[in-house]
Amino acid sequence: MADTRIVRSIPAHAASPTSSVARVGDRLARLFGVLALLAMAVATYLALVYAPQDAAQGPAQRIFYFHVPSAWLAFLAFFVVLVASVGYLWKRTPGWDAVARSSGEIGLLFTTLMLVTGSIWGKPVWGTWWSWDPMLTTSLILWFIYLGYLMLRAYAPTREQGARYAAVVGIIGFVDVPIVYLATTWWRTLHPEKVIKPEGAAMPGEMLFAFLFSLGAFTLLYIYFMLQRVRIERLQYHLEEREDELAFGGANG
Amino acid sequence: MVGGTTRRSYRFPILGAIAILAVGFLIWRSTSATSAYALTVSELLARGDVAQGQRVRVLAKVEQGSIQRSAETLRFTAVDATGQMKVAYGGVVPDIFKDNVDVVLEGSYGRDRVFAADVLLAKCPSKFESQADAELADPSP
Repeated sequence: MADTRIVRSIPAHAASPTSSVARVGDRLARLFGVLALLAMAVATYLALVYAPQDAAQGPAQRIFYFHVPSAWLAFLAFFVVLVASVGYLWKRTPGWDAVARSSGEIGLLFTTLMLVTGSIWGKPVWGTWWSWDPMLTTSLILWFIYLGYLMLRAYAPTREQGARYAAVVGIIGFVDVPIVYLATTWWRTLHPEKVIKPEGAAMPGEMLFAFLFSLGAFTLLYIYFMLQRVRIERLQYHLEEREDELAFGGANG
Repeated sequence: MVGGTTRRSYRFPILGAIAILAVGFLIWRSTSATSAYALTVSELLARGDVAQGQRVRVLAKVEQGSIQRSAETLRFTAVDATGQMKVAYGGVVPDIFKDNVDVVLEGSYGRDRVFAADVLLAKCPSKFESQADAELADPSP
């Protein structure tokens, strides 16, 4: 904004920082930011005040309203990585890569939150911070897969190579997501079986409402994070491109 | 910034693929039926004398009314559908430990036919219940 002449002198690309697509994206990000903030505040109230105290576990059970939505977000984010990775390998456009990388970072963040909240919940209720039970072990493996996914990008010699390798890991790595989800059904675990089954939810209505609201609030938060993170990716991409152009122009001039 | 494809750059996907396959193999190996996270009481008892003194992990239910607390030791009977065994434990007891709760025990089955546990974990029930409703149904504290 400081010097608009420079911006004008370089041909505008689709979705460049000054294009109308980018401006709509910025406005959407602001809208979802406000929505997510309000929804998270209400979700916190519902979880900590509105939902009734659990008979067996007491206040510790309230971590449920943050722990399970964190897991849901991690799974959602890694599913988006899977789709965007397929999109990138097919189309080879930087947009798909930006979505995959952004979603991978957010997914890793919420996998971390899932592990941390689970650990805090496990200490009073199970009697341990950690146990090598199938669900916990496969969750930790999930964390390592996507940590490796982001490290691979950082270590690759060029952005394009990093994007290509990461797309492969983003597709193969998703295999662990259904394994984590079904671990309690497949094997004997310390982790409880699903509280919400197709037949219905094994909890009072107020608890279910607080939980579903929290799921929605976390999903809004994901959309907000994605819009912002993809925006940063786009700006970074254009900055690098411009640097290349300037370097190229300087060498010839 | 823009470098050509070098031989070195192919190491990443190859090593990555190997690492992922190794992790997948470990998941499959460690969780297949032969090496479950925990045994059931019946499975442990079926091993007979061979199991005595071996360190194992057992998933069981606390038999109703079997809990005896003394100064140092917690004693109760762990059951599953067909088997049962006495358990002695001397450590910290989780908050939700009570009758009919599923527990994970770590320790060994002794010659005295008592399972000496040094780890006692409670598996939380896969249902939530409002405290107010529970008190209405069962007024005793």
